Amino acid sequence: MYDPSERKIDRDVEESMRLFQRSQVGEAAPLAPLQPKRVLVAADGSSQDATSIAVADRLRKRFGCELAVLDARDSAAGDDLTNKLTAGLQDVEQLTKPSGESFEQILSAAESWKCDLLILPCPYGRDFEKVGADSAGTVLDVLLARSPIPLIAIRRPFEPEAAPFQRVVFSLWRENEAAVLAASWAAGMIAPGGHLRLELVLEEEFYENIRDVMGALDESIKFDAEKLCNALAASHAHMHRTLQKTATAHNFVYELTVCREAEAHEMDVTEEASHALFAVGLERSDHASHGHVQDRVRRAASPVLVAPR
Amino acid sequence: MEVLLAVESGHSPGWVMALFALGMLLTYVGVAFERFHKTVAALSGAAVLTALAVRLEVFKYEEIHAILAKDLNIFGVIVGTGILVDVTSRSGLFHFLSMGIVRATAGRAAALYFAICVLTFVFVAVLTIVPAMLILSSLVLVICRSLDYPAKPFLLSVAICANSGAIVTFASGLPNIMIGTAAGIPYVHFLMVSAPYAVVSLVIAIGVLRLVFRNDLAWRQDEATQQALQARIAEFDPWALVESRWVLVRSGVILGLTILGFAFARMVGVGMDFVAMCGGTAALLFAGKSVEDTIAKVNWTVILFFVGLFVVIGCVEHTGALELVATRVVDLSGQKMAALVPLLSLFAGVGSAIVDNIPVAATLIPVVQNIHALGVPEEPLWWAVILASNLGGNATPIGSISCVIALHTLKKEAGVTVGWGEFIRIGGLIMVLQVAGVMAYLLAIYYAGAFPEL
Repeated sequence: MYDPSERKIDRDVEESMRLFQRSQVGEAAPLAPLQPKRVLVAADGSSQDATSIAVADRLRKRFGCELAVLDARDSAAGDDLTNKLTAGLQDVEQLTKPSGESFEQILSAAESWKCDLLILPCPYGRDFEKVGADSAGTVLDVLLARSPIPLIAIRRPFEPEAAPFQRVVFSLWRENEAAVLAASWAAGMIAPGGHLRLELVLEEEFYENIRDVMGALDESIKFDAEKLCNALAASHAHMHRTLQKTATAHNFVYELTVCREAEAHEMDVTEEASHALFAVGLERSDHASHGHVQDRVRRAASPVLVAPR
Repeated sequence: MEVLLAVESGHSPGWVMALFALGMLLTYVGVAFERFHKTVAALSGAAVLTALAVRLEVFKYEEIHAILAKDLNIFGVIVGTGILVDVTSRSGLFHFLSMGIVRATAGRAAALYFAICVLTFVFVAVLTIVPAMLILSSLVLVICRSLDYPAKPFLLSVAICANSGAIVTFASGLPNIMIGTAAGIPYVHFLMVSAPYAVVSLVIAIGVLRLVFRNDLAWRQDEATQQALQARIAEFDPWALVESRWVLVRSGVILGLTILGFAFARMVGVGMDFVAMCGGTAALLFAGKSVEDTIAKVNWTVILFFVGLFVVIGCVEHTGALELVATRVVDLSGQKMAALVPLLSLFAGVGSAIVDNIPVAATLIPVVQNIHALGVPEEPLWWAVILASNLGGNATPIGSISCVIALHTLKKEAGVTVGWGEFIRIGGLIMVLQVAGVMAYLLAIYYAGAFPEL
């Protein structure tokens, strides 16, 4: 029929072989989705506070979890912020403000109240519109470094749906020890019948480094981004299958996308229009993981869930 | 003056016919031996013959556009099915199905072997040879490595069974599309005439291959071996190949609807090209992830190859040479179907084994049309060309793209070289049996008066 060159046959057969090899995942059990039991909202008096409380309240209704609010501004403004925020809501505990800077207050309250999920505005104490993607703020930086529990950073204010997070995007860039934890939280937070997308992202810098190193080792090696995307998918095949099984077991839709950084950014814009929740795992001992998480938070206009390990 | 008279009578002088026939032959030599790229050979032949045709006043230059215009529908089918097949393949549907079926064999050699042969047959029928071969070759290599089976019996069998799959439907192979379009053969006629013989030819192929490879595979395995194989094959999970179930389902539905569309195209008064383009567009709309990438995967090499080929054949046809061949063939056979069917089958089979089945089919289309114009029933002749030109490729390592892909992959990935002699002993025997079967099958249908009329 047609006359593929030997090089094309080689490339296509190799690509197809790699795809089949991805199915060699052995036993992959579904994840046990993680859901919060005690949610602490840290308020800063910014326009994001209302969204934080609304999201927390929706989660409380869905999971039956306990809810507390903390005025974690550096100094008390005397405007009774927590009362204002919880007006009309039943059974919301208002925590006594501990001493110290905002991040110290939040960490202290989280520990003493024994919460398992933090919700806070980001950037802390400032409006998202003023700072945009330039900074996630010191409070978040410190919490990312010290908080033992997952947190949801609320970026731009919005009115959450009755069952929030119809769409969850779980991003992975490379091997990450917190991946399973983050995936479990992502699966737990998704609304019933919602849509979870595992997004494997090939960083441009990483690709260029690998390409240069491979080229230096052997000039004959033809290395392209597609190969690296395939390798990324192959190395996360077990996670993919695990999430697939989790989706079947817990009645949500799941898909995998493998893309380069620029494509991921384009897709983010679409996801943000539906107030998707972005989920990431933070491997504390890995500098690259810190960079990924901070970049993810800075670029997002939608809430970002960070699960640390 | 002689030239002008010839043009007016519709025939060129003998030396012009001979010159153009030589030009066509040289083009086919270029196609067969790949000194040049096939497409370059066809386009070069087209350029030379067009210039000669205009210079010798065989036709006016504008006639070239008319030659190509009558084959536009073939391009529509190639583009539409190309997009659809690419999108479906990317969805992982066929990788998923094939791995699922392989897993169901529990890795036992005999079951695996027959499953791979049948899978090849079905996949080629649906996807055409090249995409199906890429999937099956890679599957065989991965599974054979994992289960410690030799790849050679599997890959050679895949190569040969693929040519049986190519005769199942209108859209299973390019010769079918070309002849089906030129002769106006409805899709369902393929299911009535061609598909049953496809199964017969598959049985012939598997029978011979089973015999040839009787000592190359452990056809019987004890309980302990079977359990070990089962454990190793269980490591493969076909669902891990699926990135999105919705894309998978949508791709499957669009493919299924397109096949149905082919079947009912004539009934609703549209061409196969329209159905193929609708299928391709639906795939881009509902199941395609990257429109640009998918359109870029359309096989423009084939389309340009066809452009060159159609022009070459159109030029030769305008000299009257092919009509002359048809007259001689009819004279030789005494208008007897018992002679015409074997003659065409033999020519199509042997020609395909040496050159390529597409030029052979393309050349025989005007020949059969001319034979039919002389009052001979056309149905058995079309089917003879379709069946024999597809199955003829089994005879040599270069006769079919399935053999080219399998032998190259076997050498590259498994380090096994299969020589011409060894291949011809296996494939040649199968081709002879299959083409002999074609003759008997078609003559039996003809004398039973059971050919669906066109």
